[in-house]
Amino acid sequence: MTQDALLEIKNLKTYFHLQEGIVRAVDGVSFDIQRGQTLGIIGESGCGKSVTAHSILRLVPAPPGNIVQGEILLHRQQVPWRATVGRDNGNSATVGRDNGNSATVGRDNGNSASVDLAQLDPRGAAIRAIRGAEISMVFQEPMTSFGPMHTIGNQIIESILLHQAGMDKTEARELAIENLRKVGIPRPTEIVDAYPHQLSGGMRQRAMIAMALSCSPRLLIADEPTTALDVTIQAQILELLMALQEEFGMAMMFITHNLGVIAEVADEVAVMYLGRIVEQASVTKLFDNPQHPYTQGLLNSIPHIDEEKLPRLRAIEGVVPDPYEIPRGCAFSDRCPSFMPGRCDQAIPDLVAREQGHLVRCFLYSEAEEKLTRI
Amino acid sequence: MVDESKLNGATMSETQDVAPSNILLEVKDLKKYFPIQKGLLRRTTGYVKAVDGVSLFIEEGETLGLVGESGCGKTTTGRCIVRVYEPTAGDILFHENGSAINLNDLERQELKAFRRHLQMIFQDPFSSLNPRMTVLELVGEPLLAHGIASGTELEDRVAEMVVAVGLKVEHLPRYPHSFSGGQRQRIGIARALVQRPKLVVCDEPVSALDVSVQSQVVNLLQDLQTELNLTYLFVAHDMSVVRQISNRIAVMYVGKLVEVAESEELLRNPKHPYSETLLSAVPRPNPHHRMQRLNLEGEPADPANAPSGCVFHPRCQYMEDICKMEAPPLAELTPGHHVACHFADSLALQGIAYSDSIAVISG
Repeated sequence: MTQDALLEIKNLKTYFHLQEGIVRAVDGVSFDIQRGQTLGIIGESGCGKSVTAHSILRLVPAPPGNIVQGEILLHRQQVPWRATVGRDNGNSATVGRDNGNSATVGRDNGNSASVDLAQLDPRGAAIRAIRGAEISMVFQEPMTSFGPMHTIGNQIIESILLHQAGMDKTEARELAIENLRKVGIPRPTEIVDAYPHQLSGGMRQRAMIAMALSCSPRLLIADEPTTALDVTIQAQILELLMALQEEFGMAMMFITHNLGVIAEVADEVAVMYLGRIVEQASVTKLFDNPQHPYTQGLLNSIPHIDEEKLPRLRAIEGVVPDPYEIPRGCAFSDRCPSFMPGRCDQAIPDLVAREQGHLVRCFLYSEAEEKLTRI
Repeated sequence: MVDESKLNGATMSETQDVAPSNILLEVKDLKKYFPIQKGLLRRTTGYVKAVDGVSLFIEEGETLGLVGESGCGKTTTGRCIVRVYEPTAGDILFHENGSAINLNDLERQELKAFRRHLQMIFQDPFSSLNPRMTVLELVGEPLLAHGIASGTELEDRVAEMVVAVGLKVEHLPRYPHSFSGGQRQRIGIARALVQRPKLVVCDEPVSALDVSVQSQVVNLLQDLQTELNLTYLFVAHDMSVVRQISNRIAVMYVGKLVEVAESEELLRNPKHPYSETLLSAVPRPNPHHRMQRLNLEGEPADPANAPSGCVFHPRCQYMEDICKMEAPPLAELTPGHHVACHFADSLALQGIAYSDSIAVISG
């Protein structure tokens, strides 16, 4: 769509078919992730931010989960006429090094430029060649994302050997040590032989990042990577991720519920509520001029440590509804201070551009509406 | 080690003379060591010094925020104060009607009777409520246990409390599973407050909640404090939330207090390098203020094997030789501002500037 999209998601719908009913965890989400940029996704529990990430890598457990509609396009190469020169030096180097890549391309029926991840078999060779190589992921809980029975090094080496053809074990081990050093782990030559339980939470998360970066991914998905960590360690990890992004030129999708963290790392921010994006803008526009009542509510409800006055927090009323009892019409309508009876509870507003690059889904700004597909 | 703890105690008792007289709780040189046991015979091979000589006081009606990173002993301190854990050493003085009761000396039965004055609100609203009890039973249980009320009186008091925390009377016969996290936390709050305690230890009460619900619970705690004249010890790791609710803030690092001051004073004018680090690491919801971060090397020390001298010295960018040898006592630098640092009066540390002045800098 715009400039130089690496990943383009169009109208993604991921539903979970459970006994209690259908949970529309992701219900019509569209966004782009630009090469080398960071898209922040913010939302509370149950908003579908993690399911979106898992859908991209096809990690949604099926059954009960299922991508029922939508495209997830991975654009491997820049569309030539849009090519920008400066930013992507690191990237082209990656392509050169990545011998495994060309093999992948072959398996994708010759569709080398773009792949629709939504169409791939979640257990197939094509998606497995992408996972961990072109797109990798850092999870929230560093304890459970490593297997406890193998050393950190062996797990990183395994991922390197899987994705980088032509590398032998010694080279892979050297690369693993090199990556551990890059993420700031002291004594990497010793830590490479340590088991996950021997490392602290912060160190484990660093090792996780080293593993995620071991194949120079084009896109790193970070799902609440600092939520389980202490603030000083969180700050270290955030700085590390941004420094590595600069070095490798990769794109990032950064998922969190912490508005402070998103303000620090993101270029573009999408706010999700109950399976839909309700507002999307550049990080400065979103924080300086939030438009959707939910975004405004979130920003008002958190304490600002650098404000001189200490006003009472203006909380959003109510709670995030149960996924089986989403209000009719706009999902936020039952908590919204600007609720318009007869309008918000009748139809779902469309996501429209309030101004260039600032999308809002709210009847305060939009006449357009989506057809009510649910009853 | 022994000398140092004496030193700490001495400094604190001096400050106690200066401090105002409406002190509700006074903790003196509190220690909690957990034994490390090894081998078949479970011999004790060492101790985790979770709390190592903490002294503090809380005035009636105020909120003292206790902040620190995981493993610093802040939760253990809170639990020792309500004696969920048996302290290894130290005094916990509860002032009531002009006389002081040392909680650490109370026997089981005495303690049980006294507990109605001391309550705790827990972090996880999912595991802290018995799933087989209704709201009425959960909130009413403390009244029954202490023989405060029963029958219709109990029901009336429970109903009153439940309404005060923002739930409805219709919720009384329901079980915890039918409530959201925020509502469960309200039940936990009602359970703690129904016997009208004087002191409430809040252990990370909002950390497990959604962002939009956190503020509701913070507001609720503030309202109830005014209404019921409560005194809070607010244990948390989120500086922004702690500042919102606390009159004074105590910063803890590896079992020791490193700084205690009025909230605004601590934020704007920190005197301990660790407080400075902690403040600079707080992520701010302001994209115009991106990381101007400081000394962020290393990780918190292991309380089982704490560094010699000042516990913060391996991470401290202002470290000098004396810091490795000698632990600095917690001393009063300016009235009400206590710091445990050898160079507290000479270091120029950076606190949190107000956002308008930041805008000038970044612009």
